[in-house]
Amino acid sequence: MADGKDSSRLQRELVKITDTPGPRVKALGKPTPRAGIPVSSGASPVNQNSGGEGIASPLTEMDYTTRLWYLPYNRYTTDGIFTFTVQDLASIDYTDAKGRVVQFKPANTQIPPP
Amino acid sequence: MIINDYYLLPQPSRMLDCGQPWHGLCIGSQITYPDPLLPKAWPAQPDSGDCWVIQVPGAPGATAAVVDPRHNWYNYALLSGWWNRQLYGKQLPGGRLSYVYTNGVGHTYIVNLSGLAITGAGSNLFGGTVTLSSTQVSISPPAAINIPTQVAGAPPNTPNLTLDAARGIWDIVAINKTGSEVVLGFWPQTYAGSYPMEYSSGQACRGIARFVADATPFRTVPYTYVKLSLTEGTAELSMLKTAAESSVLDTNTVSVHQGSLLRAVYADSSCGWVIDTCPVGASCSDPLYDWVPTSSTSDTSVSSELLLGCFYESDGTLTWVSLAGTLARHQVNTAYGVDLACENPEDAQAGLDIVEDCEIALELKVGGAVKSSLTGTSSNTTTITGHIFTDESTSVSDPSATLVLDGVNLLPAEVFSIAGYANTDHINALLLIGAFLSSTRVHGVRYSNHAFGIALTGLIGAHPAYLGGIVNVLDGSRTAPLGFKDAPNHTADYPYVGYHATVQPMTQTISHGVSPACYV
Repeated sequence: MADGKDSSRLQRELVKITDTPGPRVKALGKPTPRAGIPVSSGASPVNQNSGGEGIASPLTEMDYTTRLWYLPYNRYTTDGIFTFTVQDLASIDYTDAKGRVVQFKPANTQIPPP
Repeated sequence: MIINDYYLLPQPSRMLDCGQPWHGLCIGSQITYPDPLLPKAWPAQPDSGDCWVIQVPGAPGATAAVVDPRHNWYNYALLSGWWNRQLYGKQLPGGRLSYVYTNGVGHTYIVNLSGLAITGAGSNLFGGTVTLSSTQVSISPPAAINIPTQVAGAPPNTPNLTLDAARGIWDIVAINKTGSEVVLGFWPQTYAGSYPMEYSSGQACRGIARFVADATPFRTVPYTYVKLSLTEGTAELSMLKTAAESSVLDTNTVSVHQGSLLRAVYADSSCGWVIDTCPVGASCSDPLYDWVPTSSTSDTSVSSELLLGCFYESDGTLTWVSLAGTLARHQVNTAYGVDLACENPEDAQAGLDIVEDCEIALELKVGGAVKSSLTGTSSNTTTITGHIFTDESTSVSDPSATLVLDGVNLLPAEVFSIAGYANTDHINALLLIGAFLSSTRVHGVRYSNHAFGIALTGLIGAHPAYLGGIVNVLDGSRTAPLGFKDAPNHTADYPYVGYHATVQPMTQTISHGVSPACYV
């Protein structure tokens, strides 16, 4: 059984391991030929309140009404005839296997299609 | 409608292309692609070859290369058909009285003219309410916009345009590419006040009404043309062509120097005979009347132009399609052997050659340029010889005729005459002028909004119809003559209903055949 000193040391080591950023990934490999969104746009930082552990799969959206949306904008059919009003996702909450809430916050990408 | 290539990441997704990517020639409710293995079912075969382009300013067009050969993401849309006019394969709410108006992306509307009507005690007022329904896709779409009509140039709150005469039938005959202008055609309720005018999908009128006079069917193009101009808040009516302007008959007698053959012949007591007038101082018996040949010439002509319809060029210009006719008759009477003076009348020999030449030309014009034509000539010589008062004989020699439609000689044509041409009925002048070719009648045909032609009925023998080439008014081309067409698809009633033509308004490609077809 570890004494208090060992316990504190272990905790420091764990925190050091979990909080020290490793070599930062600048970008993922191409997920599909069309994907051009930087991976950092949807990255979730390590949850500081998770007691030092990572996210436990699976992530499940428990309540879609908690989603947040960016301001609406219009998209048009290719022929310009019909108009659709679109809202991009601003925030979505997932709950991991241990009941902890993980929040995704995509960047606002109101950009015209390529 | 489909969405091209969307990602269903957990969230967010993105949409690249959205719209109606299935385009092509629709026959039998099926689009045929270059790859015959990839036919595409279409919800409903358009009920005519009428095909209108809608070009929305700012339309995004396709975003990415499309790998499915069946998908064509155009930056324009097509309205197809007539009585059940459709967009994306779905009938518009007002059918033939619907189209699309656009003032740019996000400002595009389905237009319904069902709220317009011919009114008034004289059935000569036209107006009402134009309804614009937004193409915003939503569970709570914007409310429809109802716009009262306003007569162009008239004081405010003048909703009804006064037509040139009583009218009972109207339809859309031309639409420009944004729907900001349409041309409406009007017909009377009856022809000549007694023959009910018919206009229905069942009769496959396609912008041409029909009536039956004395068991003979006639088809009539619009009498009156009106323009409707739209914005998102205004609907303005203005007169384009009155009946007097859309059908013009000009009877032009160039010169007539034709003597009567029936002359008064008096006995001259001195030596013989005099003609016409009893000599002064003579005592004349009652004159004898008989033919006495005299030389003379006669030139007469008649011309007519009848508007068949109109269309909008790609630059927005409104261009008219017409059938113009000219007929000319030239007669030369040459008398010889006439010397009655001091002749024993029984010995007097006389003769007369009557040479009659007729020419007919019926031309289908697009913007004034001839695109299809029917020409005919007829010539014959009548010779009358014999003794005065006795032994007269008549013979006709050298009859000849030609009848050429779009370069094809339709011989044997019958020798014809245009005597009695002076028909003052404007609207069917050309059809009736055609009747001078024996039983043949000439029709100006509107196959669809961008395809016109000339057709003959009752021409030769058992063939009830002969169809000339089809003129593609957008590029000015003309197909080869289609030739004789037989019943049951082609009858004297509808010589060309059994044949169809459609033009893709953007590529200007024409397709024609015996099956109903339309680009979608």
